[in-house]
Parts: sequence; C-alpha cells; structure tokens
Amino acid sequence: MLEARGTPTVAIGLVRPQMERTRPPRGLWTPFQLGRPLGAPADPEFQRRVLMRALGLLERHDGPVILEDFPDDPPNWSDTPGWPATIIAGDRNTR
Amino acid sequence: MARLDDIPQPTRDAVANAVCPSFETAPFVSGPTLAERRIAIVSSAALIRRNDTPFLFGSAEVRFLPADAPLTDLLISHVSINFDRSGYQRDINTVYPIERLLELAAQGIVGGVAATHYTVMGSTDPSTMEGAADQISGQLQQERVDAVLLTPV
Repeated sequence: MLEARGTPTVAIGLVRPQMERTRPPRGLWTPFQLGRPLGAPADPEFQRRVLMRALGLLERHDGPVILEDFPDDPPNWSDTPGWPATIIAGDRNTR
Repeated sequence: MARLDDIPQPTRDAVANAVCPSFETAPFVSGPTLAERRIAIVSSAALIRRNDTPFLFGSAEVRFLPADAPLTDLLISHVSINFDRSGYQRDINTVYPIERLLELAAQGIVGGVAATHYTVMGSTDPSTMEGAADQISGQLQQERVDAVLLTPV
C-alpha cells in the first residue's frame, strides 16, 4: 500500500505462507517465534544482522517480488519452553 | 521458532490459513543506496505509549511514534493472544528496532532515521486501511523518507 504511493518498502514476516500469498515487493522471512520478528531480545548484534539483511533487500533491483529467508535461528531461542500457548481455534488475529 | 512444523495446533492452521490480502498491482519503487536513505518503521504491533488508549479490535487507525519516544513507555496493544510477549518486554527492539536503526545511521550505514514512525493494528483487514496508508504516505513525503521497514509481531 505504501509502495503504491511511492515509497520503497521491505517487510519482515514471521509466517512464510502469509508472505507467499501477500507478495510484498521485498520480504524477509525470519524463522523466529511469533512476537519476535527481530529474533532475540537484548542481543543487539543478532538484531543488527536481521535488520541489515532486511534493509539490504532495498538495494536489489530484481523485483517484484523478492522473498528471502533469514538463515539462522536466534541464539537461546528455547528460553521460553512451551511457548506458544494454545489459542482459540479459528482465531485469525495473528498477522 | 515460527517454522510451521514447530507451532502446535491449532495455532499452526490458524496462522497458515489466515486470510491474506491480494493486490491487483505489484509496485516496485527503486531508490538510492542505503547510505543515502532516510528510513522509517511501520510496526503492526499496535504500539502505544504507556498512558495512551489501546487500539481496539478492528481499528483501522494509524498512530505516529516520534523517534525519540522513551522506549520504556512503549507497550503492545495488539489484540492477538497468539504471540510471545516476553521478548518485547525485555527489549522493545525485538519488535520495534529503533535503537538498531539509529546505530546504523550513526555509523553511516543508512543515511538517516525518520523523525516519525508508525504503528497499526496488524489484525485489521488491510482493505479498511487506505486512509491510514494515505496518512502515513503524506507524512513520509513531508519528511522526505526514502524507505520503510515493515515489522510484524
């Protein structure tokens, strides 16, 4: 919606099938927990890597659509064992 | 850990089959190098400042976030209960990477950081948000912003 109004965009996404259907001009899928699009709290270096990977897509000219996968899990990703919680069936609010 | 195979049911089906918008056009706007770009963040986490009214379910509004808003005042009011909240409670940059962006600007890796950033309710049907997109776009142009980073929650 913003790209159509003239501003280049890059989207981070946590659910790859949603990105495949939405087809943003440029997208980086990050394979992290829902609620953690930058991956790791209090880990500036890891967050910076994710951010740089996303922003780097702005310098590509081979779109649309550009969809890349971030290659790594965040460190200590299992620090909240048991998450995510069970949700109400049919809930469509996660986006 | 948001690979679908790692998410237990029924969350897995809920996120995999969520209704997504489709668009008739596929715009693609080029720009200068990163070192020349001023960048803004649009977060769909329905961020609010501590004393603000939370976003309501179905809200199509956008709220503006000054880049210098105290990070300890920022809360998430997204209505979904399906995502982890412990990450942002420890470090808001997990969702809204404003400090990382400011660092990149200080190092000259990006040209600058917008004075204003934006937040919406990510669960709202995007077809109702044309007005919000107009508001954001108007402010982006006023501030001569060259690129937007869209972040989910």
